[in-house]
Amino acid sequence: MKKYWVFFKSELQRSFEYRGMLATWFLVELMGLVTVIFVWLAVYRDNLNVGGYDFKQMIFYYVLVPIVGVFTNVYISESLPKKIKDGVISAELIKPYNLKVKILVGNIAWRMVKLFIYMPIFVAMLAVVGYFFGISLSFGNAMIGFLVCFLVYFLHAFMDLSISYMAFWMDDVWALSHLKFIVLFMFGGMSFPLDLLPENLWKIFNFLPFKFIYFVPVSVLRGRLSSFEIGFQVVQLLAWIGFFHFLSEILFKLGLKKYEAYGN
Amino acid sequence: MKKVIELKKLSKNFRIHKREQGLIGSVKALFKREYKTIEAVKKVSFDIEEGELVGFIGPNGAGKTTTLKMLSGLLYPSSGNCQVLGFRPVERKYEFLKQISLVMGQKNQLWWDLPAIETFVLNKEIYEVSDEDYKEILNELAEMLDVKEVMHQQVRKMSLGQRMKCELIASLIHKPKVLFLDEPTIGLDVVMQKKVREFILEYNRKYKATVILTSHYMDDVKEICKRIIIIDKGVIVFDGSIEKLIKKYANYKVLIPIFNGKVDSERLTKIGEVIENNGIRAVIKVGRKEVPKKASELLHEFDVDDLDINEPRLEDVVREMFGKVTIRE
Repeated sequence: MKKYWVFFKSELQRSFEYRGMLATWFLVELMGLVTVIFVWLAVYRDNLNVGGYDFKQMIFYYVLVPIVGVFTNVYISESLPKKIKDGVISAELIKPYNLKVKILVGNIAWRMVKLFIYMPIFVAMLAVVGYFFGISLSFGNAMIGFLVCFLVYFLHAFMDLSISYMAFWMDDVWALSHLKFIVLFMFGGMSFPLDLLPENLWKIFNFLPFKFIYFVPVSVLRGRLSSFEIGFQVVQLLAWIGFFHFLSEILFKLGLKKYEAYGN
Repeated sequence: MKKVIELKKLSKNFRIHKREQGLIGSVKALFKREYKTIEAVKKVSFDIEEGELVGFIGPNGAGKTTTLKMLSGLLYPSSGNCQVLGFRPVERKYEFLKQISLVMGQKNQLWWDLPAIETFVLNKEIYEVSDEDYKEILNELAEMLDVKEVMHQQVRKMSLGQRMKCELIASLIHKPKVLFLDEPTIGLDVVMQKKVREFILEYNRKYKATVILTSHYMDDVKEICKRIIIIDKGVIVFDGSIEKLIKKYANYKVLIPIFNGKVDSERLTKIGEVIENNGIRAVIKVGRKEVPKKASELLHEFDVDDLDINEPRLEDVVREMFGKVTIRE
């Protein structure tokens, strides 16, 4: 276990070297959020209610999206496939540790630094929403919500690892990775609450894992789900985690047989 | 002596995508792909004993690195068997991985943004090296390679030579019993190359480590290895000592006279094949059996100040060998 602890510390150290980059990325995300809020401002000019959401609730939803994103967003498939293709991963494969655990541990370290840098802005955003709209995050919902986020991190990480391992077979998995991003953007709850989808489409996406990345954790944080519904979502979530964990393991094992260790 | 590495008819094939040149080729490849199988390593067999220093040489694309990658567990063999320290490398068991190290000259295991010492600490934990052993070996390696100060600076700010030395330390923190060195001196200047060679020899002497080295620099092989294995087009074409190789493939010696006055190359052709001549110093190839006779002729017929009779250089033998040798299956 100690080796993974050292990985964690090293990644923390490394991510602090990139604190400027993290702050810049946050600005990019914030600009996206502001744009979405302006779009909804236009929508709500003539409407008091859209699909059960009034303007205040809608803004609260979008304030929670980037907070949830810090926990649930995973970018493994943006770098790991290239390492596989270029053979850079060889240096890791000949070391006595579990590559998957190492990647997850490193990823958690980055996320912690990100959270540390973003925290004051999140607190400010929640304070503004509380002050102007009288909506606040309850302690109970926050606890359950962040526990769900923690589980969702593993779902997304295993999903992203499965995509990354496709690089053992495919020349470029960038398209797959981008497709995942589009699906999450549209049907993960990042761009709009999923219960605004037409009923038939919502029925389909309610059975798929993408809703867990944003929509479900945000719904839990907003207190929109009953205890039974939370329990049901968590059972579904655990099943998807199990599925993608199994899939990533299989793909890794088969992928190693195909690995050509290019370079040098 | 105990066998540490055993290869039996080890082969590796790669399936590659063949594509015609240019835009039309790219468009055609969209609809129909042609594949070609390349036999990178063909039924290679050899054994290496504990503590041996073996030079594994051959031209580019001969199969050296592919073989090393199979031995370190990175590549699955297409057929045949190999065992290293009693393990099947592809199983990548932690007990096996803890006892080997693969140093690839152009690949980097150091963390680019952190000082090299951080990678050493990380490797200490990865390989579960005790604090005492770590301190001892780090001190020793840092002193031998003269990087005590440098290892505390960010890797990205190091020179290539400093980085290579730190790469070596990172690879040896766990005192591996088997060391695969793939072009460890590539890109280094001659002084640094020499230091790295001396270091490898010292490491082998001290820890009785088995070392397989691939290199394009024949000096690496000459100075480090007693035994060389030559591979060409995936097939082993020679396995033995450097002396044996020279005797087997070079049926000539080299006479190097220094003259007191200028001598034309044309006059020297009666002695043997003139390789080079600047008028004062010449290099002449002479058949092994003829050496005494030709040396005597040279001394009698020319005003010779000094005469050296040498074995041909390893690099020349190897170069000629790849030009004419018949590869045996």
